[in-house]
Amino acid sequence: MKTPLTHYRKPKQFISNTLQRYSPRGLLLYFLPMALIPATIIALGKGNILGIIVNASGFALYVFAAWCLRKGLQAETALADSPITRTPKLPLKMLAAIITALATGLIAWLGAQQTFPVAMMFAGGAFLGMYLSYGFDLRQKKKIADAQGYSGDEILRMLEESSLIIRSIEQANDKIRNAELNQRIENICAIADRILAEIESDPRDIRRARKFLNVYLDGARQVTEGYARTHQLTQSGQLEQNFRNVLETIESVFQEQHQKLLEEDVFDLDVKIEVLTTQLKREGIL
Amino acid sequence: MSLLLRQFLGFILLVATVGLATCQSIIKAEPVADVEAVFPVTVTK
Repeated sequence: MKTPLTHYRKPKQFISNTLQRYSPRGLLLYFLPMALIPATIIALGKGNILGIIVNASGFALYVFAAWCLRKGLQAETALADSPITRTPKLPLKMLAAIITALATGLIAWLGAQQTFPVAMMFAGGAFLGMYLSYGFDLRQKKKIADAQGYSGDEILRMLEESSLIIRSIEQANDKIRNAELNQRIENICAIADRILAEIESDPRDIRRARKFLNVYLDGARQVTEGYARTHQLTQSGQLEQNFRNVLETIESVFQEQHQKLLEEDVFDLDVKIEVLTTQLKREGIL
Repeated sequence: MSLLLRQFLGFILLVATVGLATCQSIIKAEPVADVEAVFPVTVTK
């Protein structure tokens, strides 16, 4: 029997991303410079060129700073959820603080016509306010412990690469116009994400999961990208059926892999309990 | 310093600096208040 679409569990990271996207944190910077809109209009009415330029560019700088800040906060949440997430190349929150300070100094000096030292104080206050409210970017990545002859950095790199492969499968999925296949691929990506999370929480799994990371995941990407490219050129029912069969196989292999990792954990726990029981018996406690 | 207090201080600083600078910018843009200065009315007796 087919599983209804609503019964698929959404991957944790998607839920987290959605929450972060609609979080009000960082929106203040969009609202604070609203006064610059009437200021620009008044300057326009009075034909004050400097006023128009200063107020309009100040408003644009604040909006850009707010955008950077929101992106920085989103990246921070994603990094807190999983160390596999790549950090943005630029320190976005720091950039937002600098732009806010610059815009405030500019508005205070040329717009509000304060003296230069006072405008500098406005800029410094805005920078400090940004730091206290939102902090600066976390550049230090989380560490993963060494395991099974692999260093923590090696494991992190493998997980990062695998995460990128999953993201490219998702991108290829966006190009496929078939709800059923889309759902299957989303399901596969969700299982793959769970496997990565499993390895991340227990890096000893890396040896057993290497085949999955190197062979199956990359194979899934190649197949999905290939289908996304070719199905736009030809409408072949046979091609679609073949792709569906491949997806079913991939899904079952991924589920099997995930199950193996979980079972191995249960086995580990059983062994640990057995060793502990033997030790307690030997000590005469049991 | 607790996180909440830090964020509150940051909020106050941001509102004070950005809010003050932008509001002063409107005042300095000098909205037209004196209508007669713009539309001089000549009163004939």
